Amino acid sequence: MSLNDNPHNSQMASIELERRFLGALHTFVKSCVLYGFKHPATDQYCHQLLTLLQDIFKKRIEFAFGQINGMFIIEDQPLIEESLRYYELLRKLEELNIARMTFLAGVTAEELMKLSGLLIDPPPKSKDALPAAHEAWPHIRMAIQEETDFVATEIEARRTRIKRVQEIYEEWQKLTEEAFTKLLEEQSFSLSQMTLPMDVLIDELDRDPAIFATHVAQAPVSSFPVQHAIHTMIFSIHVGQKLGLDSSTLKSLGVSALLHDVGRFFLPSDIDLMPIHCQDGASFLAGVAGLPTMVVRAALEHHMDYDGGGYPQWASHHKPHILSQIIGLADFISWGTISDRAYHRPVALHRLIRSVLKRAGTQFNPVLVKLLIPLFGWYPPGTQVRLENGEEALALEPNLRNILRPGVVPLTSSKESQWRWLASIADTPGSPFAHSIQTVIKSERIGTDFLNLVPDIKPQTKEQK
Amino acid sequence: MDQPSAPSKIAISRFISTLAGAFQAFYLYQRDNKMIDEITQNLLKRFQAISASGPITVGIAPRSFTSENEPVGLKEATIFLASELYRLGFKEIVFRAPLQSRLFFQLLHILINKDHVDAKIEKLGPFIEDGQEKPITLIPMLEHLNMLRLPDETIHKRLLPLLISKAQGGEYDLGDRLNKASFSSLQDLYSFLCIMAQDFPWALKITVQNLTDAAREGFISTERFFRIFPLPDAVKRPLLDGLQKKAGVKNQNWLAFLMSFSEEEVALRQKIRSECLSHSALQDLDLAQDLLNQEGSSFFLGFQLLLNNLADGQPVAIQEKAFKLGQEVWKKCQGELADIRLNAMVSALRQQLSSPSKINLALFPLRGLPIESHAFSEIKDHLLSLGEAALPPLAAALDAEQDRSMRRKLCYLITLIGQARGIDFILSCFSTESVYLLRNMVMIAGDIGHPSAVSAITRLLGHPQKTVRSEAVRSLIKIGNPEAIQALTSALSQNIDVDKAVILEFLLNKKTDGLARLLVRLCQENPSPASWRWDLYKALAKAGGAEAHAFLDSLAKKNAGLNILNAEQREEQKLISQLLSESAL
Repeated sequence: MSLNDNPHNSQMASIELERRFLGALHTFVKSCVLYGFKHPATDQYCHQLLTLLQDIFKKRIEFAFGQINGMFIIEDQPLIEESLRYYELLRKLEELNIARMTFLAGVTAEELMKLSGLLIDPPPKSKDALPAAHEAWPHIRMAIQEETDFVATEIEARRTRIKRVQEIYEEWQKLTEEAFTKLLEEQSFSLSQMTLPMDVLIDELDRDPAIFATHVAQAPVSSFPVQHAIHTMIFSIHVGQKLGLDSSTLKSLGVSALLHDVGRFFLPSDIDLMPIHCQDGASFLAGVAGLPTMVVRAALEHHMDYDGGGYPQWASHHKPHILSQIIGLADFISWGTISDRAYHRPVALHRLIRSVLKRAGTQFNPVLVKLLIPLFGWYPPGTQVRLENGEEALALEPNLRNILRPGVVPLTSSKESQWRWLASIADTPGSPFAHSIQTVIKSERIGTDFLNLVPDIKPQTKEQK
Repeated sequence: MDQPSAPSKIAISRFISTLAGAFQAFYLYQRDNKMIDEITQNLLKRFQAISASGPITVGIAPRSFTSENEPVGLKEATIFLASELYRLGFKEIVFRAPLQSRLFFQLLHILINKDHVDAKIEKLGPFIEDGQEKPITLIPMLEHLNMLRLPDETIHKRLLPLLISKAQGGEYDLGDRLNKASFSSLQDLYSFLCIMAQDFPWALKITVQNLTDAAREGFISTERFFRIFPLPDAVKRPLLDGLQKKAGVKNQNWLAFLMSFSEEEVALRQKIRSECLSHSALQDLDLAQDLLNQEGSSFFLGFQLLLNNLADGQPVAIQEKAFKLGQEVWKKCQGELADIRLNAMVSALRQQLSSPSKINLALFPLRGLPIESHAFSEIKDHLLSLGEAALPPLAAALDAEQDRSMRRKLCYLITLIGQARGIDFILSCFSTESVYLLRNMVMIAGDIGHPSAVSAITRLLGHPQKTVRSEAVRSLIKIGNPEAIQALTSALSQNIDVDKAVILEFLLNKKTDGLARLLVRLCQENPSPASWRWDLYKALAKAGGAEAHAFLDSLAKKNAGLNILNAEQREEQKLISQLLSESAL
């Protein structure tokens, strides 16, 4: 890694004057502390500051800088170097809750002196005093940061995270749709366009796999090929992360999973021809410039079984590559849950998982099965269950640390229902867990908008890390 | 007494942004100690603002930091530090008071170094979790845990105090609590232990959590977990019995299958990981080879994969393997031109195989091979089959070559291809600035002996470099057709510096018509130096005929009347009389 990787570096030159302004402001405030307000040195620094501002106003009518999370921001660029150098100035702004400071053309030395005075010796209730200052100094404006915490409550935090996952999912839907169109029409695929979204996906998936699992399990199916590709990609990357693969391998795995079923586009909807979609897809992808060979390989091998079965069946000694095996398993689960054809109805995850388990060791690599299944849990999202106390509940969010105890919402009393993590411990002697699932009542895909269930939910203590 | 409240997310966020900023600033000010001191002081101030309520744990995602599963820090600033720590295999970083600024300095200094990953991790040793409380602790991801490399007994001993009951003076009383509970599944046991561990001292807590995580994720086998973790028999027995049963009979046993990892599966897990990471083009080529042995669309797919892998820029081993496979396919397919699709692919293959890097690969074994050997003739056949497309890289190789014998081999190969495919390329090389290459090319043109080369070679008789002129003469001699003879003859009468004696000898051997007349004319011009004149006389004598004899005779007579002759003239006189007497014989 080098500093050149920073995309902001190239833009830095364009705000050189503004960056110098921060330095000058810092020096000016410091000199006011050291020498007082009526000292030739202070005057000199004030004059410098004014000259700089005049230069800035030659190219813009007003100039603003802000601070967030301990960094100065100018034009949405974090100024790392300045934030570290002019730390004292930054601290003053943070103490006063000043999120943004705007200078208008015509600012005078007197105003700057007053500003410096405010920073050095803030009035006791700065929040009330600052608006008053607005009127007093017509050329300096300050925006006050609201006194809210980072994320107000845990519920809100959860909602934010779910929204974020939704956004990522939707962005990928758009991206994949465009990529497929371009791929089929122009036979080209832009890997570079995928890099950044893939980075984001890998990062968020690493942080919050369970929310992704829930979202995937609930998302209504609007475009089968696109969503199937995305789901396969998400599941594959998750297994890759569990295996501890590096980011470049993860990306290659992700792209391979995204494109693994391209061959289906060339198929008439006839099940007898199914086996040829692997070969067709691979041949097509092999002709697309710039794709890693792994992509072709995955398209060819994703229906080859762990024990040598499956198709295409052309060389008995040939073993599918391990990344193809991962994609094959992910493909099976994704396809099984959302494919709605004459010959195949969508299967609920709860049933599908048992079907996968039966195939572990023959069709699928048993270790990969053990790594992927916890993403959905033993009672995957959407499974209606009965708890040991007779209460009926809906499993909502898988618990990756205990597949038997997902996050559930009781179905009985809607207003009072609370999100409940079953992996909490109550002081009931003899039974360490407050609640557990006894039976499955129903397992089907529910069409409820997942986010709508959340407001009433308050998670109880989850097994903390 | 009031407990200090937990630090706000904003404060943690600010601290993390500042830390990440400092990481980048260290790049900028590597030698500016004063600046760096100030930066680490700032960091410390930020830390002091959040450290009152206990240690701060920050999670590391591939590109960002998290605190209690929420992203923290300004992402634009933190991305570099997060990805670096993630790359080094750390999942969490823990800061605890009291912290000194020199620790930040040490940590960041190691992180910005351009060392190899292993070297960095070794240097980070003092910061990595080992059961001790440290001001800055880096917690590795499970697969990098040092703990798992310890002998089972050591960890077992470390955990033994957990089981001592309160009655016996134990502090944690885990044994009693475990005995009271009954577990039907491993997952519940793991969860229970993790939740209980929340109240343990830090080192014990981390050990328990890491151990259960490692067992849950399959980094250690379930058996090993039971060997290491001290558990009451009443807890251990039913769980172990459950694992013994064959999977599939009832749900419960599928669960047991899903939750436990056997020793073989742990080994398989490791193997899978290394297989994923070791994916290389070599494996792709194996696949291509497999496919090429098939027929129909599989064959074409294999062909396409091969073409994709033949591209330049791959590591040498891969290029070599791809090249060999390419050679085989080329040998097999070059004659088959009926199928349009195959035709297009074969033509692409030819283009790839004729690229400079591939030609160099083909030439590489040539150095040690004698021209007569079988291996040499195989390479020769390959290059010949590529045709004129192979010529430009061969010429470039020839130009760069220092070794004489290798140059000779290259010239030989170019000659063969030229003979088969025409000499247009070779003639186009005549405009090169490299004298040595030009000389070789002229020589090759002569060896090929194609009449169309004559005019181009003739022009080179006037080349400023003598080596080129001489080679042009030799090549024209080698071609030896009427145009070449004409060119050589006119070269004799021109004032150019070539080895005219060689030309004379050639013309004499050829018994060219009108040679005697030409020679007489040349002699009449009284050419110098004397040696050349004498060569002409000798040639004239050799050419014979009345005209020659008459001229030599006239020369002899002309000089006979003179009394004052210098040494040169005397010698010339002697030569002429000798030539006359020889021709008379």
